[in-house]
Amino acid sequence: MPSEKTDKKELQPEEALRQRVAELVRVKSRDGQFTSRTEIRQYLLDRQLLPSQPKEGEPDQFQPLLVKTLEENGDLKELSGKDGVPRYYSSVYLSDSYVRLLLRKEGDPLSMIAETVRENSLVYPRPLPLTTFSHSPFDLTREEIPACLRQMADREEYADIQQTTTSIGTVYLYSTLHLDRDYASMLAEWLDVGQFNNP
Amino acid sequence: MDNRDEKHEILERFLGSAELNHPFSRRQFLKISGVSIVGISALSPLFARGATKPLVIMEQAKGIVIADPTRCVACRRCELACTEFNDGKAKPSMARIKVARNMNFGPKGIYGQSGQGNWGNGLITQDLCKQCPHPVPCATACPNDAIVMKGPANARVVDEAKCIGCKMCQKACPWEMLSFDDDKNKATKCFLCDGKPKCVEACPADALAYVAWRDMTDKVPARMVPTAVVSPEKAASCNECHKK
Amino acid sequence: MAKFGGWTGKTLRVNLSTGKIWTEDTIEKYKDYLGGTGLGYKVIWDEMKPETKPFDPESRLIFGIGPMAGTGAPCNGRTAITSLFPTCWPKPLVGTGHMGGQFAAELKYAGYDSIIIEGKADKPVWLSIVDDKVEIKDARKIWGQGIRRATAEITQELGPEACVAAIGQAGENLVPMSVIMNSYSHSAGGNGAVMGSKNLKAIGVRGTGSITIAGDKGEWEKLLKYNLSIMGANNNHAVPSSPQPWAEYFNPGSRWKASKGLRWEAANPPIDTGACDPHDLNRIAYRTNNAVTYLGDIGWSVTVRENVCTGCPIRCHPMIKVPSAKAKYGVPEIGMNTCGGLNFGRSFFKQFPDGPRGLTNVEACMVGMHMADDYGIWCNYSQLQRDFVKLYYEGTIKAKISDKEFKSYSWSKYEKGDPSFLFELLPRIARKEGELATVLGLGTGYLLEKWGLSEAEWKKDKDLVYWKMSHPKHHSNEDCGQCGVILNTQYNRDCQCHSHTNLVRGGLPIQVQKKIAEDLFGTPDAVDAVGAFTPMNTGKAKMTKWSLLRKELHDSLSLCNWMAPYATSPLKERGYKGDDTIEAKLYSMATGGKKNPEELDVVAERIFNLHRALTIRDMGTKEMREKHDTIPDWVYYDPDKKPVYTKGTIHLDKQDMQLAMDMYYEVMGWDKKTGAPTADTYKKVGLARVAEDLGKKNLLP
Repeated sequence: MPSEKTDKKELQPEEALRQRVAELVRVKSRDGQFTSRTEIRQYLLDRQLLPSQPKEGEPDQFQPLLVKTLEENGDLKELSGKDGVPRYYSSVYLSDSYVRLLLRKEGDPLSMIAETVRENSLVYPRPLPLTTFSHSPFDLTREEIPACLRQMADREEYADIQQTTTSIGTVYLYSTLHLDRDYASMLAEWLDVGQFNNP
Repeated sequence: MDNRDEKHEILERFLGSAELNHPFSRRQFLKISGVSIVGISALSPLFARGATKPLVIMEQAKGIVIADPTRCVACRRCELACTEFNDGKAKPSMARIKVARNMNFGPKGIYGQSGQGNWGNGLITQDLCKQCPHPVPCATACPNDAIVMKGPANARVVDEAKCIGCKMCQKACPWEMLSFDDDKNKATKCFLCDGKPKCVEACPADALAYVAWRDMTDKVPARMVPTAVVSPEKAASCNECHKK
Repeated sequence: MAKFGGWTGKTLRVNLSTGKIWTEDTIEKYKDYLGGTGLGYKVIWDEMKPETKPFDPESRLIFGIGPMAGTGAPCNGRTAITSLFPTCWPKPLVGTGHMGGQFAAELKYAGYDSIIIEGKADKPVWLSIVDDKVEIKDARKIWGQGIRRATAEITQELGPEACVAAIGQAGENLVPMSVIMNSYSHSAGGNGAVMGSKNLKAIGVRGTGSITIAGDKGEWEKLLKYNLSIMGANNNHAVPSSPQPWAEYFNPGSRWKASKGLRWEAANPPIDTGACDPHDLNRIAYRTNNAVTYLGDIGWSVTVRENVCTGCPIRCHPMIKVPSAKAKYGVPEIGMNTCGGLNFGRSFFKQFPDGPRGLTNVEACMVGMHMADDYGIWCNYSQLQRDFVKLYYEGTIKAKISDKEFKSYSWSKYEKGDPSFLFELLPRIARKEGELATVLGLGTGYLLEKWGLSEAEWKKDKDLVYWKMSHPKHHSNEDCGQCGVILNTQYNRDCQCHSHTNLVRGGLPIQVQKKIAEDLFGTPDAVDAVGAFTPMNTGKAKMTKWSLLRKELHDSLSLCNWMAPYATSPLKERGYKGDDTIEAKLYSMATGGKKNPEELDVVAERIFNLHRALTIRDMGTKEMREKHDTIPDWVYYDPDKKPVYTKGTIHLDKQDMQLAMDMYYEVMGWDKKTGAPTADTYKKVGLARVAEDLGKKNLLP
């Protein structure tokens, strides 16, 4: 029977452990990344903070640790990725829209491009330069982007994703669901050339 | 405790503080510890040596502000924070971190042709107090023992009550870091803002950092040749410790 | 007499004809006009007759600085130089050139709030101000030298911390298109020749004094931190230009360029700008990179760091290192400037061999910058360059100048986009060598007159963006519909107003902008999405008034109008709202002269109405609507003939613009028919004497 004294000693290391888990999630969020359940488990195993083989009959320590960490830290959120594995992030360091981008990135690149273009055409509204998708967090390669566009051109569900090219040859994407052709091309020209010439 | 034991205690405590920056080995120091050591400011029971004994700062500072010249964007918000938030007036000429004097042409000015500064390659050297280890040049030069060590950071600080405005300290600092408030006729210097330096907080380019003290006196070139004079009383006390 | 913080209390006066140097009590004489442009307009109203010409000895040249300059208030390093503008056509009228750098702060530390210069020295002189020692000194040695040498020689005498405001050969030669510059890259456009006409080469200042902050130093610290916490990037852009982990929004057009992996590549060693979370006040200086904004992505490869005015965390002048510019053209390999100054060289060229955003573009900028900033030539917000392009490609230059002179230029170099062409053109403009160079240096209105070209034709060309009276547009309908257009009618030079454009170009979604506009102006309809303009409404009129008044307020206080007013912030927890009261808070705490925002806006209204009164008086007419507040035809023109107020066009409707002017005059308290302030309005804002004087001349509606 653990004495009162022993209980106190056990609480402190656990609390410290939960704080470390919370910090891990926050640090990764600040860097624009989710932390998966697997990563957290591995992090603890690597530091021998979790037994690698749970002892026979002993309850799993990991799940309750995770649950309690989430309870104690209101900024930490859980969501499911496309593969069903839970991901965690800090809402202080990762915005909702960045979370959406990260989730899109886990899906197929076509829908990633399409959903992002649609969102931009609706919310701001404006078209997006193609180069957006070769940078973080989209990180598509120079070859992947035109390949995606070719595939999208053939698919009904992406019929609304259209291109417009500015007078200096920059390609912009927009969604006809929210922007008409004339307006989109005017905005693209303004963003690419107009603002440049009207500092 | 008799005199001899007291001195041992002082020395033990001194030697125990971080990063001994003394030319003598510990053994040598203990050997000569038979000689009187006077007025070590941090150790209050031993203050009672009397007002006639000069002040000698022995302990290291605990913190120091260091700077990255390649990040400085020459905004001078550090200088403004230093004087506005500490003195209630914007007076960069009195700032205890100094940027403006190097801003245009580098630390050697227009005659130095260092090729730095806004009119050169852009590099801005931020001049900072090194919170010198023993011997502290400005404190040593002060004829009134007005530069003292003060917690929590053990910064070397001008005690305004004792300062007589002679400016000897300005002549003593090889890096020309002593400022003078001519509205009050008092010297002033970096006191690390009691452990939370305002310049560090104010810098928008992450160019300043407040870190654990380390000896910067051999890492930063001097700006001038000091011409201060050490009073005979202080010179005598140097002799007491250091003579073989 | 109550003692105020912020101001030093002394305004310096110099008469170069008599050599007399004296001071006036700032508080007694100018407090109600704050400083900066306010003080400038007041001096001109009180002391200059309408018949005075810019180069007459009686003409005043006022280096106006406000109570905030030299303090820790963010972005305070502004000097407003007010005089008659020699480029203003057909008659020079009051105008202000604005320069940043260190001059404003250094003058305050020397103990002066502003400098008022009158008279004309017998021979070239420079003004030396070392704390309270002010002397007029012989400038023979530096007359004829560029701004850079003049600065170096004065610095040799006054020390490396001195700040020098100087003219180059352009100003000396009375070229109207001249600037006054300080701190390497900071130019005030339009007054250089006035300074030259006084035989005044430079003002060298060294100040070791202080500026008192009236309020409690702990409270002041809190207020400044608060101000910093709501600031965006350059032009107060509130969102980053690429998706950042912390950011809900982004906008590729934003000036907030920082991102992980994007580095100041020419720093030694390179520095990654990183994801600059707006809560991290130690990283504000990394947000903006105008090398990228103005040069394209190539800007990263040449950026050493950022620079700009005293006390500004934003740093809108990129310092760029371009070794090829030195190797090919012999200019220093490091240069810095922003906007029109940075673009000075490249704006002359229609194309470059390696495209509009390549290395030649950058090299042209370097060559142009170094020359323009040394000779002291003004670009008139790049109107100089736009005029040049049109005149060349339409064959006008060839037709108007002699064959011999035409052949003396390497036009094939120009057409190819060879930056070395600038060596042939710019020095000649500064020295008035040849017909072309001389005419270009006059300013557009006088150029058109001299060459018998039609100003009406100029006003039809939508690429020229010429407005009126020699000046171009500056953030008009393309940015902000009717509000932008009205603003552009109000001054005697390009309006230099950014209050409106800071809000609408910041990159926030239109719905967020509308919410902020509703808070500020009473209706979300005060702002439209770009290219989706709607008819005029009273909200837009209110926004226009706010934009103008705040610009005058900033130019009088010494706060940067490229940042303030803080309508927005990058903070989601504030709903992206800024703080519209911050000027009043800063003013009250620094000076101790407590004013709430409404009271401070009345001061701004006083200052702006005084500008209006000056314009009316010196034009000799109250018919402002018809004769001054004109709108060029290109504003109403769409090349694709799209209907107005549909999506995809920025042109406006003539009738709607007339309604817009009606509404604007109404919120200003001005007569609708003439556009002139009424006697009541003058009295309301504390200009009763002005009303009287104008009444005597029948210049009241």
